[in-house]
Amino acid sequence: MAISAARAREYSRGAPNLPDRKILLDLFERMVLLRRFESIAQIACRKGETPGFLHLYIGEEATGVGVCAHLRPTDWVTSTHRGHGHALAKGGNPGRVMAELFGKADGICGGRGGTMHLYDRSVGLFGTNGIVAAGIGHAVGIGLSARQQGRDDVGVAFFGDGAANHGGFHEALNFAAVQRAPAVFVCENNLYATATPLNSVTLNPEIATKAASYGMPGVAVDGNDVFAVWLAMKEATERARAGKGPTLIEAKTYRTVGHHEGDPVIGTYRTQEELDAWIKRDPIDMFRKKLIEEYGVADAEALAAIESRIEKVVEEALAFARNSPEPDPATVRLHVFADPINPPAALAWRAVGETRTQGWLEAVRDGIAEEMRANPAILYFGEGTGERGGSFAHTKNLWQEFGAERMVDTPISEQGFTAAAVGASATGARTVSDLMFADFAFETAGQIFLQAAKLRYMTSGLMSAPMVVRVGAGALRSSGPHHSGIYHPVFAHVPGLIVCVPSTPADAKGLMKTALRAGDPVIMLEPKALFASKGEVPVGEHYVPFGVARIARAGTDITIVAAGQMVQRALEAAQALATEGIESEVIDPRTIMPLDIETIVASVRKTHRLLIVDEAWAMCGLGGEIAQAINELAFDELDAPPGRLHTAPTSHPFAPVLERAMLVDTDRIVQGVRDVIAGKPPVPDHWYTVGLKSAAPVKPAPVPAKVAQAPPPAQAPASDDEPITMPFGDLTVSEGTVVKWLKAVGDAVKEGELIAEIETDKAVVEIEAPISGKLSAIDQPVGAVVPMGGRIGGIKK
Amino acid sequence: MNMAVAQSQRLAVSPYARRLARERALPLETLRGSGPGGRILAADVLGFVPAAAPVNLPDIVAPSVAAPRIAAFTASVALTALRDLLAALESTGRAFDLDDVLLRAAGRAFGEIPDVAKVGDTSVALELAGRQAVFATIPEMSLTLLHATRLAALADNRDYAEMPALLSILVLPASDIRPVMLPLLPGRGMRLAVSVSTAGDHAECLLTADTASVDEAVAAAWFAALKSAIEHPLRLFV
Repeated sequence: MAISAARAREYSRGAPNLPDRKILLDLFERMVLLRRFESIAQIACRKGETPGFLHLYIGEEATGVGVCAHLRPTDWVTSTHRGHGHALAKGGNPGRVMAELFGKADGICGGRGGTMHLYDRSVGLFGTNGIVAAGIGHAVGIGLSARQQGRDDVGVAFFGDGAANHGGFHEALNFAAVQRAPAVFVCENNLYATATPLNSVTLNPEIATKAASYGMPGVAVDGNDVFAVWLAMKEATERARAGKGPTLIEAKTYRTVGHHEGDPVIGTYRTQEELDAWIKRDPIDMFRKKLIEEYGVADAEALAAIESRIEKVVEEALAFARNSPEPDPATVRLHVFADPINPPAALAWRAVGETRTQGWLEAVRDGIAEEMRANPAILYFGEGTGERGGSFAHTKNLWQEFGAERMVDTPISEQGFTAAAVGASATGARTVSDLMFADFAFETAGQIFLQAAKLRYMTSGLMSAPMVVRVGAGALRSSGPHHSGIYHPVFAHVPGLIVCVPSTPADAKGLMKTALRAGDPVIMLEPKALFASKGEVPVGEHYVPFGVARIARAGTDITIVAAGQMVQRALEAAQALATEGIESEVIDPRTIMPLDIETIVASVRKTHRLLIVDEAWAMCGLGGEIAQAINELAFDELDAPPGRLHTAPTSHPFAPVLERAMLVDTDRIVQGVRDVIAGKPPVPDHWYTVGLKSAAPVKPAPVPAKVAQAPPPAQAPASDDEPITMPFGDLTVSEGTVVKWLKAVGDAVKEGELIAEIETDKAVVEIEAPISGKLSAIDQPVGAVVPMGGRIGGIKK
Repeated sequence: MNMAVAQSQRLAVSPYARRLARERALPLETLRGSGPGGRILAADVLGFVPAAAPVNLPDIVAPSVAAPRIAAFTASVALTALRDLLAALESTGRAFDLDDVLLRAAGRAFGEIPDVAKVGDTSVALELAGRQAVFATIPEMSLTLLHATRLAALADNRDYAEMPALLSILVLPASDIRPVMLPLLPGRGMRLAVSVSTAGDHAECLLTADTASVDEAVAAAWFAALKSAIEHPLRLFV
């Protein structure tokens, strides 16, 4: 299936198969843009102008440019930590991309994303990505989303050789292949995962051949030959657009800079010879030569004119970035969630009309079906949720109504299809990622916490992933350690996720319908123990807004907060307590995030006592959260210390008798209420205190010496020479020792010439002359320790 | 340990109970806590009833600040006649102040209601800023003499809080506020608070009495005599 290298060569031989002159010159121009842009970014980084890390693409430009030349603005690329080139090749505005590297307000993400999180909806840039392999699955979902919306746009994933050993790669490729997703996978094999040689971490370093495992074509090309990449991508794109499925392209290339700025160029893992050999194969130099000598489409002068034009473009980009204002600190809290957080449908007033008695699963299925009928761009990914109708019969009949293209039966690849759900939901579709059990969410934790949750914030609100993660949650009759968790505090901890724990069929349906219209990722935790429950469900359109608690029972003596299956236990306890003359008010928050703390506060103002009952564990949990909120908001209302009852801090045991010992039941709630009313709340024991005494310091600990951080760029002394400075680089390094001066005062130096060496904890940094001239001063002799950004000498023109 | 000391000294009160007590101006020290470790709860504040006088402790006569056996009486006293009289006297070069008149009237009332005090114990303390001056109000001491003694006491600057006196008098700054509750001063069986209205035509007066020292009916009669004396001031000058 692989396109042979011989065939690729055939394409390039002879004029008839050459694309027109403009395409070839555009490829050259784009590569020059990438190179010059990053060269300038590199200098800015060394001067300390760009915060954070900086991973440069220098040496690999041919791949990004050759691939993106085939893409429309409505196609999307997903990228890597080394993604400035992809951003520019896809059409990102150089000034705004540079401003983003500077963390400025005019950056393409308003300064919230930065180098490793560059997103631009207008050009189809799905983001550089700080997580290896995370974007591969996004491209699959992007392709499925486009197909579902009737477009032939494609999703293209860039990733490195390091990602090829990551589960995200394998899951995404397999899922894409079986779905014949309009996607292209582009592996930029630069031989090292940071500093780990590819052939030391796999016995099959021929990445293109891995495509065979998934039944898709794989092709290896010279990633430094832009035209070879262009040809391979042409075929892969056409194949994807035609609905024939994805292709894996391995572009063999090399970065001629360090892993990131401040990291040594060669380090311990490469040799000078290897570097020199690849520099001789520089993609821009090679293509310049080809354009002039082989293709004869331009002369040196014409290409030099292009380079001068680009020089101006990047200078303007740099000036734009420097002049752009800092983001306003007052905006830091914006763009965590949609504002308002509820979709209009959930806020519209509806008369409470007819209801009918329905089981939980049927009610939710109805809700999903209603929304899927209303919105043809809703896709449902799940394991066994197709024809089979789901492990709990929770998708029964949906496959029959909506078909396999929308009710997608996935491989057991939680990471792969949840990544696809992120990509699809961010590009016009809506997705349900059905992970079956809440426990399985951790198989794709990165996609939920690092990608979906952060997307809106990273992009300053320009993008979001309105997907629903649907899981059966909580304990149910010896489901055991791997099928019993509920974990809502874990999800609620991360900004950007809406977390629902319904307790009635009506709420489950209403929250699901709201989730399928929301603007943000929703974690829908449906308690398995309630699947068999029945309740009155409103007939017709029924939406439950996020962040509005339900008062399940009114009372005057104590407030019990409980969610999910604990609501029923709390109501039973309230009934038992009523016979003792204790009237409990039971508040069901329904959504853990957003949390309706106001309703709880209002209740405590009435009852002056509080007990939180929660199925999740106590440590850093809901009980502590709500109790502390009451301390902050209604301290003067408390007539007793708030109490909390949580599932015991153990894994879920299998033996029924042990499981009963672990879970909160009605009797424990009854006793907990009595204890709170007696002023002695139940005290949990989840801290596992060890009983060792912490020692008081003999004398006050000195404040740790402040690590030198980003001192202001060196100021030239009175003289008008050009300062030579210790460059900024690695974030964890703050200073270095001058080990060698290769020039003496008075020597003539050329711009870029090596003049000194500074050794840091991580590398020997070669100091180049910033301008041509005469070395006029050596301020820091050999042996001197200099801070990053500090002046070590000067050059006079 | 310090912590134990601190704990033993700290009053345990639920935040809600603390708020309720604050709103009702109830000193927490007077409340008994029914919660764990004696913690004062909302119910303890809401259900608080001042304790009745203990019947089996007749020996307790020393009045104390927190004495629960308090009787209090208020009266509005007309001052128009007194004001006119003082103005007339002033025009003849004989200046008296309200304080002089109060001392004189107190003496007169002691004369009329002798049961109020043990024989000979008719001294009156005048509350000055941060101290007291004590005057013997033998029933018919003339106003002129009282006035001179009072001025001398003002110049004296000494505090006579330890000197015996049945009554202390507090003249509040002129306002339209009616005093309704004031504690007794240590060693004094009664306290008279006088708040002259801003118009100067009447005074709102509060008499607080320790029923262990003074029978409440007798105190009321004494208060009525005082009021009558001030409202008919001419009698005080003869």
